[in-house]
Amino acid sequence: MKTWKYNFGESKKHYIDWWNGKGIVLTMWEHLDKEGEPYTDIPEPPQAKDISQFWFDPDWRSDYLNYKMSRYSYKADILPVANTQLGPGSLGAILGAELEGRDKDTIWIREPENFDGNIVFDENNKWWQLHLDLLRKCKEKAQGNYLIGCPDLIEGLDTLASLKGSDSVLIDTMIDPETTLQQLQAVNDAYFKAFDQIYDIINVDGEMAFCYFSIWGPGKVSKLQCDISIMISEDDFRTFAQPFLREQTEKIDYTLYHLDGVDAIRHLDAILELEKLNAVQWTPGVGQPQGGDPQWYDLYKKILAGGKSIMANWVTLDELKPLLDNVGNQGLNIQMDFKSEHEIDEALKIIESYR
Amino acid sequence: MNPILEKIFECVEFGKINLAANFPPQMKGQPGADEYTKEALDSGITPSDIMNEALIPAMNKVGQKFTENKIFVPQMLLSAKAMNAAMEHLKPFFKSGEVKRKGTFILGTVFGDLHDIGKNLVGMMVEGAGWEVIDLGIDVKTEKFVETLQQHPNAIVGISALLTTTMVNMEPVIKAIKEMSPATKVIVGGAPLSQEFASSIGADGYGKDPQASIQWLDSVVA
Repeated sequence: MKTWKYNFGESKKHYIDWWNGKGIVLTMWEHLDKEGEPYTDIPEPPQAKDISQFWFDPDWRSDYLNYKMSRYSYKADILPVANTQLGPGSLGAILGAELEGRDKDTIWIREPENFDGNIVFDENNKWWQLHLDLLRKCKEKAQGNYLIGCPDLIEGLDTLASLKGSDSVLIDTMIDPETTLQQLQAVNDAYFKAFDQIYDIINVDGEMAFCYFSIWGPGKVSKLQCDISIMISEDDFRTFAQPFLREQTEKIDYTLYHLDGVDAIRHLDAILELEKLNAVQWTPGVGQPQGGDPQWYDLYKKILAGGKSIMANWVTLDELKPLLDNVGNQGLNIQMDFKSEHEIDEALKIIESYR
Repeated sequence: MNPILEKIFECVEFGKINLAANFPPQMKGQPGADEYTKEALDSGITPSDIMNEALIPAMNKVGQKFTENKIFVPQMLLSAKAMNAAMEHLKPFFKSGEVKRKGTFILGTVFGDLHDIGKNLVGMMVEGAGWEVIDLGIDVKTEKFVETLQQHPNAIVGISALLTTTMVNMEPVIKAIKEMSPATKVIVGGAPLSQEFASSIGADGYGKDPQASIQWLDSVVA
């Protein structure tokens, strides 16, 4: 596959090393525009007539992504991956919740009004059909110039909460644990049905990319999470989250766990117990210093000592060298807060001395 | 303490709602807050004593355990449900005026934000602390806060937000409330907020967690 990323071969090696606890990936959250001419002259589509078209019209959105991808920079290890996300947790919509585009940054997921407790994967569900239409159209437009990322499906308790409501899910873990575990297994089963079909559409020669946290691998790749875990005990995490995460790590070739917020750190031991998990991403949360801050060095060292690679996000240029000096140069995916290609070049100069 | 009040306290602390509830496992098959509150009233214990000697202290203990990470949200929700089961029996006495509430608390998630669990928790805990709670729900427009305040002019207002993108919507709500009623107190809360942010948008209080919100509310009416 020959993409618009001139150094994709080198970046692929960096990613494979990183999944295996070695080396450094230098990238960023999504993209910034490249300097100079686009890779090819793709006309800008007309403005979306409304927010619904912006998110949910596969024709318009694939045109828009094609235009944007032709203008992004893919320096360092920045991936040529089109972001096809349909909200944080679109598996919930596939299983009966509703998606609502609010603005150009946000899609809300509203729980269904009459959820009867049955987790049913309906192939005719309109939001599932949108996933398929959008991914197929994007792949057709891409013509091999870039990859199409897997939308942020999300699994487990987070998806169950989008169907039942957070309160109900949390209460049911106490008063009806057996049904909750059955529902969580049904969510996982649906997840794999959706994920595998998506993989069949978007993979190129078996390789795949995931939209959130810009991850690529020579096989099936996914980001895992359990954001609602900040509300439950460590014991309940091991009962209601860990088994289903473990199944994902066993069925998907490369997995990254998104650890979100200071209150989630208490579950890190249970996360590190996931034998086949490859990496842990750290999101400090609002009001906390971001991923390059020295405050998180010990956390990164603990993750690395637990046999997992790390991903640090929103690292600034001045934080890069101290981060490498303190955490080391093996198993790091550093997502920088780049503002320009010049900054990418500066970061590359620093990184080269650590490779 | 009267043994029945002790039982009510225990049911609320551990989230035993009623006889049919199978949680907590160690209290399976036993009456819950529902049955014990009815029994207490039938035996002549006053609604005020049930409120002040059992329900409020029990919810205080629950809030304290939550603050200390000894229990988590599911356990707290069940305690609140047990407390609600008891409160159902007390509602007629609130209406008749035999039992006084500490005040009225109007609560909602700010417009643009659909998150509800933090707001729900605060609402349940505040109610358990002896307040009347008017829950306006999620995605609440400024006009709705103002309109409800006009109907309950002595109320305190609580505004919740979970996102950095929506917490900025609190400021115009506070401004509108203060323009209509400068003396009305407003407390804000939610994961991305801080005391500094709360002060910067003109809020009178900041609720770091449900227990802190209750302490602030109680201090306002003390």
